[in-house]
Amino acid sequence: MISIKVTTKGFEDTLNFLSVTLPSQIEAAMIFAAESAKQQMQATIKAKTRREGATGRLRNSLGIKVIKSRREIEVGVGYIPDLMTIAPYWYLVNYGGLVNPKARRVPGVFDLDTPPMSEFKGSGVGSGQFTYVRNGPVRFLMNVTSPILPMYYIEAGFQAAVRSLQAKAAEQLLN
Amino acid sequence: MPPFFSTARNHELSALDYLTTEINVAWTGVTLVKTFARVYDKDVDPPIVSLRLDNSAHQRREVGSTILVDAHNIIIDIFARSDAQRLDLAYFIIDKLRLGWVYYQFAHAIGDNSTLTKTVLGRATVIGWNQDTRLDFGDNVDAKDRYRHLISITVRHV
Repeated sequence: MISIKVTTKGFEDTLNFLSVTLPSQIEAAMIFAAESAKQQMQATIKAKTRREGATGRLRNSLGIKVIKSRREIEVGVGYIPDLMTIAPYWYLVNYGGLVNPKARRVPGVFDLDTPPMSEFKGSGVGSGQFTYVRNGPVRFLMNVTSPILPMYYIEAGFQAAVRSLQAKAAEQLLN
Repeated sequence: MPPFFSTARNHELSALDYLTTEINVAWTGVTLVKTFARVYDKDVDPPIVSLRLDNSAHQRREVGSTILVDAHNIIIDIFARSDAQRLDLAYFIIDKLRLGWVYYQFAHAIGDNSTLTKTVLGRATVIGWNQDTRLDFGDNVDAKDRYRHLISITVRHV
């Protein structure tokens, strides 16, 4: 989702080539930036969640991954295969949009068994948290007609990472 | 004293004012809106460009100073009729944004917010090109989400 990559240049790819070890400060700075990005993304998701009863799946699925190769080190936030399993709506929630027309009528129940009152249609106001229920004796059909507003948490995380790297660079210059 | 708008609102309205003028000169039928939800109103058809200021970052101008230097993140969503139009419109917008635009101080009369007045206060310039990317929601999507593009920039005025 967000990736910070450092690649070394000027080395030939020969059989005698040994793996490059980057200065530990660079790796530490990259991990610190990724941590800043992750915290900012989680804070943005929490701040922009409009209804009560959020499960926290999306927030908690944002992990940090470090990938090292001979000439590169890459630190990423948000591993997409994990997100597609845990919170497959991560893309729609970030960029906003309308739910797939074929999936717009969603069966399920609200806790307290009460759907949002019709006069508040489209406002997101209502009682209870909606739980998807495929089969069952008591179900409502939630008709999703309003667009999901974008959170842009990836954008917020990206900027937090940039600010963190800039601060670290400035710190190195002063030292 | 007329109620002046904040720096963030001025940036948003200045960018919207500039892009509206430029797009209306070179394109026909493109609707510019300021809120995301408005895009999905029934009376608004693609191509649509939605522009809004998402967040701001503040830094002290120098150590010990109480003056802040602000950077504002503007998000531009493009909802096109086709993939070719998406690319062309995105390129056109980037080409116009790179030149910078006039930064206005907006205000309205007390008790009357129907008419805005604007005063030139400087120039806005892009200091960061964050994203210029296609958004792919797959095949089974609403017509307005089929050909989407996202441009994200960070701006400051001087």
